Amino acid sequence: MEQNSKKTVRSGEQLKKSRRTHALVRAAVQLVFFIAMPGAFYAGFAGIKSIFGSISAGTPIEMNGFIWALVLVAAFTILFGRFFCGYICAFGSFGDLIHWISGLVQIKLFKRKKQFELPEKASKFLRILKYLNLAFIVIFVALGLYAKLRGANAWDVFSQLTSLSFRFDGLTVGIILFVAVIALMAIKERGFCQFLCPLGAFFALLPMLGILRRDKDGCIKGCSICKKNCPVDLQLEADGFSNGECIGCDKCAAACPRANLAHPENKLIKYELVPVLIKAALFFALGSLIGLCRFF
Amino acid sequence: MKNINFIIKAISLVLTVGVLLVYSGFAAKHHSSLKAHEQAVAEIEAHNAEVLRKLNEAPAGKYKDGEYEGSARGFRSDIKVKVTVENGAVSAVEIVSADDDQAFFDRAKGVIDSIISAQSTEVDAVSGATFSSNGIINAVVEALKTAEG
Repeated sequence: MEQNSKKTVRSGEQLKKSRRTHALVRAAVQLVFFIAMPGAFYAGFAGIKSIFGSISAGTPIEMNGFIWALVLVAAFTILFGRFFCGYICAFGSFGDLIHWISGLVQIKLFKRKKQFELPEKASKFLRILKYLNLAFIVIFVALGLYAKLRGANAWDVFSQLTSLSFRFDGLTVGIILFVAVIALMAIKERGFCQFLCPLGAFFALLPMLGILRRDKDGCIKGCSICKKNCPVDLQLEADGFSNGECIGCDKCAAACPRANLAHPENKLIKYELVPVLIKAALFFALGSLIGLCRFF
Repeated sequence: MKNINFIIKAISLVLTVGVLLVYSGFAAKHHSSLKAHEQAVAEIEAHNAEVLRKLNEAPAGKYKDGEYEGSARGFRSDIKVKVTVENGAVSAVEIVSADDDQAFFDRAKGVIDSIISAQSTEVDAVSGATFSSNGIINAVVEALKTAEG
């Protein structure tokens, strides 16, 4: 109760500013990683494939570059929650761009009052698919059948775009899947990430230390602004963050009238965008070290 | 229990990593004895081939000795390789130039060993680095076209 009176409620103007600053900083970080490390998610997932490929061949697991990429993204996720998903992953950033454009088209062109939103129940059900996708890929790799699926992969098509290579021979199935993924991202913010991403499924299974925490006692009664801003439809009033589904976008924290949502490190550093920049710089340095940066 | 979710995940992670390490240890042992055996067989076969070649004085292989360059499209741009042919066999493949992302290209270089030990360009691409792998393989194919005698 005492805490309740200590915290001030942010005014509408302050909230608007907080949300805008957060959106801008996040977009800037995403842009930097989109240009410099567009293959980071691909390399991290290739690490998982590499482990099961070794098991399939009966050879020891060698610490190759892909497994280092996997170790990096997994360690980051264990320490900071899915910061990688929220700020670094090029495919996620691409999805944010698609969803933003989709919103503009819906509101400006089709004069809709609000951008379409998928019912929460559907989201909760569809989430399970990504675990099946991960299981499917891992089993195919372990059985040595994965090479047969070559080209049937939306990420390969995406990599041809980010590399400015534009070679699509043998990628017909991939292109169809890629278009379907774009449609999904247009309908649902981060739809691919929450419903289909195999790397996201792996992350959701990891124990996470630095996830956002909500100071429930300090909340305004009946306020659900955090929940309304969550792209993943988390039950934030319950134990929403620890189930692994949070993609670490921090939108809820930026929108909270009482600044009631914080990462553990926010207790040390008052200005909440500083830890974001520190985490981004750390990933950039370590990622460059293992060859994920395309410039050096 | 508030942190039950975290504890379960942490235990599963530790167990998974443990199982992978144990597996890797056993696989390494098995793999090294297998490798030694394969090497012994390969040495004997090479010796036999050498003896046969001397007996028949037949041409050593289908390629002329020398160094040949070839290039093919990798992930970002063309990959250029230099192939060395010694005694009619591919003895070395050197990357002359490539612009692909390092993490991927380093993995793709694995196909060079496959090409040399198989003495064939019909080898599998490295999973996760297929564009770069196929670039190297195709560049070797191009280089060997000029080496045919």
